[in-house]
Amino acid sequence: MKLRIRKNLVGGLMMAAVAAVVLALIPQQIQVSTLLAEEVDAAFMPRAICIIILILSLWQVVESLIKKKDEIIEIDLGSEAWAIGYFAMLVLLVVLTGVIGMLPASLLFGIGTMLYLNCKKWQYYVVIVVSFVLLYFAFTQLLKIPLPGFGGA
Amino acid sequence: MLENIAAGFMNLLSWEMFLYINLGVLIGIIFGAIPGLSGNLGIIIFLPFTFTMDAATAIIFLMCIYCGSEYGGSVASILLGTPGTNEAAATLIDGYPLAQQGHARKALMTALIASFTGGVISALSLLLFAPTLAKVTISFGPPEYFALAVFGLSIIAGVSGKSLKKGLISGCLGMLLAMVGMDSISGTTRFAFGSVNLMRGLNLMALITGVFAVPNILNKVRSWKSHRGAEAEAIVVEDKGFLSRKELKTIAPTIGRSSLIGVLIGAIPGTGTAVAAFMSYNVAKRLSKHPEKFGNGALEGVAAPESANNAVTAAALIPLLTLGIPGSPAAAALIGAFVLQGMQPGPTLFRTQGVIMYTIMVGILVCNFFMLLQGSMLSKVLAKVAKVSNALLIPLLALVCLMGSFSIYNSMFEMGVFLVFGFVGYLISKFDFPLVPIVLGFVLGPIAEFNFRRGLAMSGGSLTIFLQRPISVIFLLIALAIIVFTAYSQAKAGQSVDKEEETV
Repeated sequence: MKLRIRKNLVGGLMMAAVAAVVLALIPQQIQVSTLLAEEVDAAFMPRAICIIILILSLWQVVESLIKKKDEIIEIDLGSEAWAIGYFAMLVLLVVLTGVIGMLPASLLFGIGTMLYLNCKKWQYYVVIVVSFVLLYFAFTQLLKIPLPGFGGA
Repeated sequence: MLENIAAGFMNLLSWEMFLYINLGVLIGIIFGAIPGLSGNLGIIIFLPFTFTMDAATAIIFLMCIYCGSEYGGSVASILLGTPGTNEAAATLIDGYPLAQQGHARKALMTALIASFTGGVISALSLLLFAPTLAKVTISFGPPEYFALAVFGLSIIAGVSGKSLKKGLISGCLGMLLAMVGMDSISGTTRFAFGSVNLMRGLNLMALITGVFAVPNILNKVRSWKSHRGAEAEAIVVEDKGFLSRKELKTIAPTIGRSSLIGVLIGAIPGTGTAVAAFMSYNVAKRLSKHPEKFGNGALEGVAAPESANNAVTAAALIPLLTLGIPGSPAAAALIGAFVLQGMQPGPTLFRTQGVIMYTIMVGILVCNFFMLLQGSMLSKVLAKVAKVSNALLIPLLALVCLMGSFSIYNSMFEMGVFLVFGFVGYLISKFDFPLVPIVLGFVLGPIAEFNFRRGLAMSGGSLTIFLQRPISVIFLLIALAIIVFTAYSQAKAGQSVDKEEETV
């Protein structure tokens, strides 16, 4: 199944929404001190940037709607879902790393990737397992970077 | 200057440096040779491996990856008919026909000699011009720094692709992300949502890795699904067929000319390696005695883009090291390495870290000689490397990036930053929002804000301070000119497309 999207319209609306939300959050998230006599306070620049994003995004939306200046892209939902599914596996890897540690989580992830990509060659499974173990030891032993162990510790 | 060069050279004389230069070149060649990977991605992935290195070794190692990848890109173009990197697309035009005609080795050797010469000329130009330019920038105050940052941000116009508006939005998004955490002037926290991790601010390296690597990984997964795992076949490299003296004479002027084009393009921030490669190809074709051979297997057609794209590598560091402006995606990624080493690229770098700077520049020069050596020995093996399956690359890339993100602060939070901004990068790239401006905005935004506020504090709130200093005015005018010119050319291009559509 394919989804047809107007790039500038949807992209513009998406960015305008982001800018509007951030703009609304500024009074709550940036508590400007009244004691400091500043020419320009800490909220000035974020506010100015949000306004610029808002103007540029709405300009894009107007161009798409009125001037019909847009490009339509076809998104193949099947292959897109496939990519998003893989992203979910990355999130799962991070969650599992916190629970069972980096090495076991990454081995599960490596084998999971092979299965996900429907890989039939058993040699690839071996290469991935060996590479992951080597990578783990390269980080922990050679570079002395303490990756999370069992139990995420 | 000669003393500094000699000191820099002496610093290179250690087995560690020798090892890292060779390792960097090898990794770079491999990253360039595998379609879909790039030197930029190589720098990002190997950034965590530089944690334990000293500053000069770390930067040289990463630069070797960049230089090696520019040559490596030609291998896939010539042997697979698929460009290993974007800029190697120009090499494909003549490189692949040459390989199909049984001259794969000749094409590879031409690419190697051209890459080596371009790289050496580029490194020499860096050694010559960077220190001189740095002397000029040493007297900069807040107004000049602000104008410089604005000028740097105007480079977004050059890396915005088809739409300046989208590039500016991406740049603003980067600036906004850089504002998360503690404000360096007033100490106020911004967008921290009560989180201690966010109070520290978002880490540049986790952001760069996520924004560039996750879209790359997910696109590979998507294309694996679409092509059902089918991968390109490589042409076998025969042992015979080295370049004759006559052929070397034919390509020599092209290599010299294209190297100079590459240096000039590289030194201009925001222009990019692909521009240099295609421009040199075009010039070589126009000036050739046999332009009809171009596209059918002309050695000059391989020599021109290859010398140009390697000539960009070191020259692209001139604006980074002297002005703090990352003029290319690879230079933007290198900023992460400088920051990791506690160095801020820009006007003060040569004053505070002079010897390290010379070591780096001499190291880049030396790396080209090792690239020549490795390239000549590895041409047969590289054909096999270029065929490495995406089924292996996808999980390996993902894991190295995640481990790298964790190792920034030994914290799971950075892995989350990597994932979140990786997904944001993937999503917005679907709508043609370019990713490089996010990094430019993230790096230059805080410099612009800090110096804007300091400038205003100096002048008692008067904006005229930015128009009273000549250097500041010059940078602001150039920035304005770049934005206006880009907007004008895009509007003109849009009009001509509309006219064409009307006639159809």
